[in-house]
Amino acid sequence: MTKIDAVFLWLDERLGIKTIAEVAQKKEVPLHRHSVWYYFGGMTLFLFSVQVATGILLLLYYRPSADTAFESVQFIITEVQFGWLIRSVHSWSANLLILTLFIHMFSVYFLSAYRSPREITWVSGALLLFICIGFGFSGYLLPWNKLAFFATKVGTEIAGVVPLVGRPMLRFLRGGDEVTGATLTRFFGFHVAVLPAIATVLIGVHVLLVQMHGMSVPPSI
Amino acid sequence: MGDSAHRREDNPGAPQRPSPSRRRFLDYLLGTSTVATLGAIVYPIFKFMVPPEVVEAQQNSVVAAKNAEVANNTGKIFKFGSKPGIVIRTETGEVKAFSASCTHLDCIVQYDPAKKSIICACHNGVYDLTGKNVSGPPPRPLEEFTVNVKGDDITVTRA
Repeated sequence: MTKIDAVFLWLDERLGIKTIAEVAQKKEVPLHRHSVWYYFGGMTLFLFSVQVATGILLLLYYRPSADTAFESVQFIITEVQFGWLIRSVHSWSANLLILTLFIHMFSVYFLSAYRSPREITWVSGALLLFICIGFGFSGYLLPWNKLAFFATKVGTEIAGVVPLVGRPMLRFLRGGDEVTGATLTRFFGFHVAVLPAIATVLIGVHVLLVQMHGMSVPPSI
Repeated sequence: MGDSAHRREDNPGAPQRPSPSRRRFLDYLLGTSTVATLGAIVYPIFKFMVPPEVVEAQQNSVVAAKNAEVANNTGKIFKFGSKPGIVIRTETGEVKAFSASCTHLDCIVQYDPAKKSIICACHNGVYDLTGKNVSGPPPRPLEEFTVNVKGDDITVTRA
């Protein structure tokens, strides 16, 4: 027995990693004319991890308050080395993520992959769609420029016209009656703490269920 | 990769395997492009994490205090750019200004009217009224600034 085997055995006795290794070793992959549509879930997950990495990097320099947010973004793209790259990757990857997410959702829908026993996978995915839109909406305000300000003003106004709950919801989102610095810190909190926490749990459930059930085979195959 | 090559060697009927030099060349290509790709990702990330040098326009002159604010035998701390300074009016009415960063560990010094000297409360450093370090841990005298009293303003200029 080599040293590596001994270490593996020691860890396996304590963590049961052999089971995980076995699951990872044997994977049924879809091999039929619809295979290409199965790529998009993984692409969305990849783009999500890009968002996490570049988002953490941007946090090193971003300052979430009304009088510093705009300047700190300008600082990132003009002064920080490769700041323009990190910020652009975050912004582009966000857009592409929404695109791949929608392609993933429609392919699951049209290939009827939501069928029993995968309903909860579908529902957790649908929730993740809303979370990602929330990421996009809250992140859009953070550069704190004119476009961001008015987009948020209009966006929260739309929430405000919902009957009964609209007005309280608008005040909750804006942190007051108007879009101000209070809205900015609030959206920043959603964007970097609340939504990531929920998304992590949902992605965990979603991916675990995919591993449990394996790939769905479309009824037409 | 190594395993499959061995198995083919054991089986003479297997199709002709690629020559070792071609395999080595392909491995080399794969390896270098993997390293280059990782480098292209990791290098910008490390560069990004290094905070850029902020070029701060050095301020050479500042109105440190109003004449009335500094009575005889007192001192006042003022902001000189991003660093602290201290302006002092001695018992005889002479106005002096120094950097207020203790030369020991950068604590902010203060004027002590009883001792008639500049002291640093952190580690009991004492400077006299010319900025010279007289006792305690400070290794160097305080930097002295030029003082101009014009009307009501006490203006301090870096020498």
